[in-house]
Amino acid sequence: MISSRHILQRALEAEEAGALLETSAYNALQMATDICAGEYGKTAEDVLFGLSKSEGQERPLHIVNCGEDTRPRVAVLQAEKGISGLVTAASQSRMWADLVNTSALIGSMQQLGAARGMFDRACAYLNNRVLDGRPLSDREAIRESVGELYVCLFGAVMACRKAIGTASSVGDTFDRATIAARLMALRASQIVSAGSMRLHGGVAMIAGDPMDVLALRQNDYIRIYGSAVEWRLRLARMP
Amino acid sequence: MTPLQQQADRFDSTEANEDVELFRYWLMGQAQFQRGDRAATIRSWQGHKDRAGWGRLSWPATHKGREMSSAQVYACRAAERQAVPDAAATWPTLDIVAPTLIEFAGETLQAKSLAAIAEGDLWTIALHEPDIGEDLRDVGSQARRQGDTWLISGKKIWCAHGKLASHALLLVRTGSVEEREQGLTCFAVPLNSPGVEVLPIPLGSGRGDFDEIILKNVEVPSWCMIGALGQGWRVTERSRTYLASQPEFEARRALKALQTKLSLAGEDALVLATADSLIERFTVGDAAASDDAFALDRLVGNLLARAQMEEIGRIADEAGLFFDVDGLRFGALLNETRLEWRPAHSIKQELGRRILASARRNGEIRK
Repeated sequence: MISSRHILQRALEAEEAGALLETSAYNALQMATDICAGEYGKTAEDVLFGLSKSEGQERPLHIVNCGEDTRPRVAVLQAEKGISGLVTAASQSRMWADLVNTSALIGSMQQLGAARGMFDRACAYLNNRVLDGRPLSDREAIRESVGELYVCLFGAVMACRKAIGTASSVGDTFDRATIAARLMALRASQIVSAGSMRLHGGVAMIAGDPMDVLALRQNDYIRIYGSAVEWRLRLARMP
Repeated sequence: MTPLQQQADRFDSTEANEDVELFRYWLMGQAQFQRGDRAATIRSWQGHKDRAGWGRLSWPATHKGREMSSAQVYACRAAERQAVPDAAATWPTLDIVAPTLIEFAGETLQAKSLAAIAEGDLWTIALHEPDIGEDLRDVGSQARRQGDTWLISGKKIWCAHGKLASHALLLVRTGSVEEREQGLTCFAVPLNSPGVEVLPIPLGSGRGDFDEIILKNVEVPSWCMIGALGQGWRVTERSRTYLASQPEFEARRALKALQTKLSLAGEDALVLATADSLIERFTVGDAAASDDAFALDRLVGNLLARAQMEEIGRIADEAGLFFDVDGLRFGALLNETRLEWRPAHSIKQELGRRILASARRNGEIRK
């Protein structure tokens, strides 16, 4: 059985390696329809297993924002057509709650993965770049910045991994742990990607460089999974 | 595997350890250990532990110790703090002074001191001095040879539990100022010797666990020298790098106090709760298998705890809130811990060094 943790780990790794969204595990109109039709089993593990099985299809499943309505919905995204289907909660089931929480966490993990990809590239650059006869990584101020970014990233990744085990909401609201993890991920990925960009040499700013691509992707994640303002609003409206 | 992934995986798993489990089991029967006042409790607790076989966790087997690794000792201390909070005062003596004596002290000094330490004798580590700042290479207290004895004069500051201690581990200058660290030597000084004065340092939060020690021509026999002449810098290496306080505990205590005072709502509460659940994992101290992994965990735990403490300070400030943590003023406590917990930048640097070194080992990253 593939556990939820493995899926999160894969999301992190896929993004870190600079892979594109389609390799992420959580596609599937199939999935959403099956859940709504009640064809799947009863546990969260089943849902996640289903998610991982549907890997390879080209229709990722995402949480989208629907204006003022703070209820989460699952949208089916297609590369060329944009949003091709919108599914709201058909029932107040535990399984639905697990699905929406997991999707939000997977999105957070993807975003952190992209930030980590930038962090790793910056570290490699710092080790290789020699200035005044010694590598940049020998300098204390540089090491301090790297340590600071690492702790920031670590905290957010662990928050996501913990949240997946503690989701306790029912029906159409997000779990508090999910919201906390999402907010932490948003903050950390912003700090880590900006910090890595700053530590990396000017090459990172050239259009098409992997660093530049990963930095741009941060914007996409915020567009798809919602900004911190929207998530705070969700929190404020929680019963 | 990158350090992030290794550390994250370790964080999720719990390494069971037989010795640590046995100690925890033994502790369960000792809850609320109390013998008179605080000083009496601290002294008798160590003796009680030693008679049960748990008094010398990190000591070598030749000294009836259990030879635990630093990670195991940390896990034991975490459990001990829960059962007997006052026990924390004995740890610098047991985990720093005793191993230093075993490694460097002569036979006479070892024979006179180690058994007493195991029975509950406290030592204070006296390194810092007024006016020299963080750089201990500039220590100015003097020791002069006089026949078979040494005469020591000077002033030491920030000596933890000086009032409760029977001895001090002292770093003094035996050479010239120009020699810097090569001119330093270590001595064991009984604090009841004539010429020694121990004065409390009252702190803003209400804490009283630091003292100042003034020495005026204190005479100590030459067998009290620890290590060779001029070896003081090496002898005190353990003491200099030891993190006296465990910030994770302080941060969690402060959080509880804040929550009691103010029922938080919204993002602040969520972020604090999440950070707290992360820090909890570090305070339990189960996760590290190797010394390397343990060191990495300690660095990250320390930095997370600092961040949480600062966050609590920010929230308290924004709410215009003044509160106590176990009877200590939080605002003052925050400032004190900023100074006490070794400068954050040095810990960040150490962490960055490890991360960059492992990136180098992993070679070029995937494209």
